[in-house]
Amino acid sequence: MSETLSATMAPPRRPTLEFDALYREARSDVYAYVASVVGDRATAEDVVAITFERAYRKRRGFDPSRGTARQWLFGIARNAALDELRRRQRVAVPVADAGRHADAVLAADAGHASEGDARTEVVRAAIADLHPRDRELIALKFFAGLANSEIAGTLGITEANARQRMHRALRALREACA
Amino acid sequence: MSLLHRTRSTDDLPELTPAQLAELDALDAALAGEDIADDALADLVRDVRSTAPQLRPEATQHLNERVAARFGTPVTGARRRGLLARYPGSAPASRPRC
Repeated sequence: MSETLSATMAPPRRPTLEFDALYREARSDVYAYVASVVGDRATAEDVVAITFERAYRKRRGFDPSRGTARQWLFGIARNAALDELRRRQRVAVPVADAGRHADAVLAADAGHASEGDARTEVVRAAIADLHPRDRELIALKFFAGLANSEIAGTLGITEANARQRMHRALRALREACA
Repeated sequence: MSLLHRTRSTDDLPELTPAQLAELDALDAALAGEDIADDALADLVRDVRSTAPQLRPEATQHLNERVAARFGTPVTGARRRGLLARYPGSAPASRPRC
């Protein structure tokens, strides 16, 4: 069999996921997103660790034809965060309003904002008061920097629907910050 | 917990107008660090990003260590054979066959 024919018949090799590079590039963004969803710093740290452990174990299943590595990773992070929210429901731990938790974690973790900055406080409170679905979108866009197509893939919706939802969330945020 | 229940629902949202689509494009441009005409949106992007929750250094360190240790991945297969070749007798014993 000629080399050319062998090469033609060989199954296409799937590109390998560069796990360490993805970890270094995305860990802060994953944390910012997860903290916005679960609203608790310690829980967010646990969920981020679970996210990367699951990603590491599933890395060979990553298929670039189905989306970017970041989209894939944030899908794992989202599932891990939802698992945590479901667990809280099951064990009936009193979960106060997620917005208040989010407000607290945003206040505790904000990196660049100076304390007492009135504008920062307004923005932080506005994000915390958003509907959870809008807060998640804001986190995926502003903190994780995902494109609308990646957000669509992460949420399992169409890109057109992702744009509609993003615009609704942006409008809510602009009104709250006005 | 509405996040749990509305994940895959199809919201009855109206089609976006060209102006609304342009607003989303401007948002993406601002997030990419480009100058945009909508100053209020540019300010909002800067302000919101400044509130991003940050991993504590000690949490980052702990996570780095777990990643470096591959989360305690069981030593199996090719990796185990490689370890045995490099460090004879040092790799964990394989599971005894019944």
